[in-house]
Amino acid sequence: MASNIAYTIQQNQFGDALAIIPSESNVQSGSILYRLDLEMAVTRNDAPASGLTIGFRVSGVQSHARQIGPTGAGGKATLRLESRIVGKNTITPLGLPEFADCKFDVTLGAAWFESPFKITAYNCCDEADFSGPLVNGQNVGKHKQDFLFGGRGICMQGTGRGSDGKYITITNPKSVSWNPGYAGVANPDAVIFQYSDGVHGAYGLVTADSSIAIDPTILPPRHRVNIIGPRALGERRGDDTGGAIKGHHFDHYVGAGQAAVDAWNAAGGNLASAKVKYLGS
Amino acid sequence: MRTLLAVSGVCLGLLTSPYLRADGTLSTEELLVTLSQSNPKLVQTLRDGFDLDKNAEGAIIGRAVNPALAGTRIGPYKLHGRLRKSQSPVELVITLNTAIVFSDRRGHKTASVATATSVTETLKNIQIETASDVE
Repeated sequence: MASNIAYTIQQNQFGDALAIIPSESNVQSGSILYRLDLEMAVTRNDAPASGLTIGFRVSGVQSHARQIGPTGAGGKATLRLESRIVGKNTITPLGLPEFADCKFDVTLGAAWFESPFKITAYNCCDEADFSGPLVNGQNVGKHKQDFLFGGRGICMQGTGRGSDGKYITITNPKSVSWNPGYAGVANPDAVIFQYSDGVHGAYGLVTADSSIAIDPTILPPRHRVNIIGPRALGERRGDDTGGAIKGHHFDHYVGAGQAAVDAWNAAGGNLASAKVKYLGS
Repeated sequence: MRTLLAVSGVCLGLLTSPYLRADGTLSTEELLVTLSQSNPKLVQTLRDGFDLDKNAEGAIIGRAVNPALAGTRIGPYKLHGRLRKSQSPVELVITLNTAIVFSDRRGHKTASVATATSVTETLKNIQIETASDVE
């Protein structure tokens, strides 16, 4: 007489069989938490086994699986896997020798964020958008005054693109003193600039329409996502972060200048509730 | 020459368009909720008088300047809207001018953005121009 556990991955709220990244979960040790519900159908002596609760272990120290309630009249129950292990996770029943061989392999990779994301956009300043007189900036020569020292220039944004296409960044922001109202720098002679190979995010260079600023407790740095909708943005990577980017919020880097933000707005602008798929590192 | 359609608020002094370049976007609703704490009457005037687009734009603090505040939007903010009761609504650019205060970890006002740990804003006034004059 045979005993068996048959496992079936349940469809999630997104209509497929991928794992979910729970809203309340955080990144730990650089890994997201996967949650996957499976239906288990237990038979004992070729008959559905009701009222049964089975313990399970999962390969990997950051994984566990637990049965949610005893099996019903049809021998069925939900088995919830929670794991931070990318790739194969083997679920093995514990304690009941007759089910010892009823193992199940689950492969974890892409997954859905349960929570929708707010998506905003940011740029870096472009000298072409400024109109001030030309002044000298230490190490970088003559540029428009408001581009270098204005409240929306490099001294506030950190990096900007000059009229010659070269990126300029500030090297000593702590030496900058601002005039009342923060519209301009009070001590421009103290500011030191340098040329840069681009806009450096916290985790690497940021690229227009490819990089996003993330909360690293929600998405591990440099990991990829696919922003599905309501307006599909496609694949993006978490190259940057900032203290103001909290929770389920991505700040989408659109490139240099006003035109980049105008293009973002023309395409529909911010997303208040975007559906996001995690793709991995 | 720019056409100043209306100015409402505690200050009527700004007649030149301030920094209207966009640096970072944000939700108009979230912005108004925040600014209503400092100037509820002016925010309510905006809500009552205008149909506002859902996206606003503001200046942004960069990571190279202050990682702890990086990504924070600050004023002046720009948003688009139309006069609600107009029979022929004109596209408007509305600038929200704010008083900004950066504070250090002890809560003292600081002139250094780089060492600040918090920023607060008070909505001072709004400036309204026709979009065709601004863009």
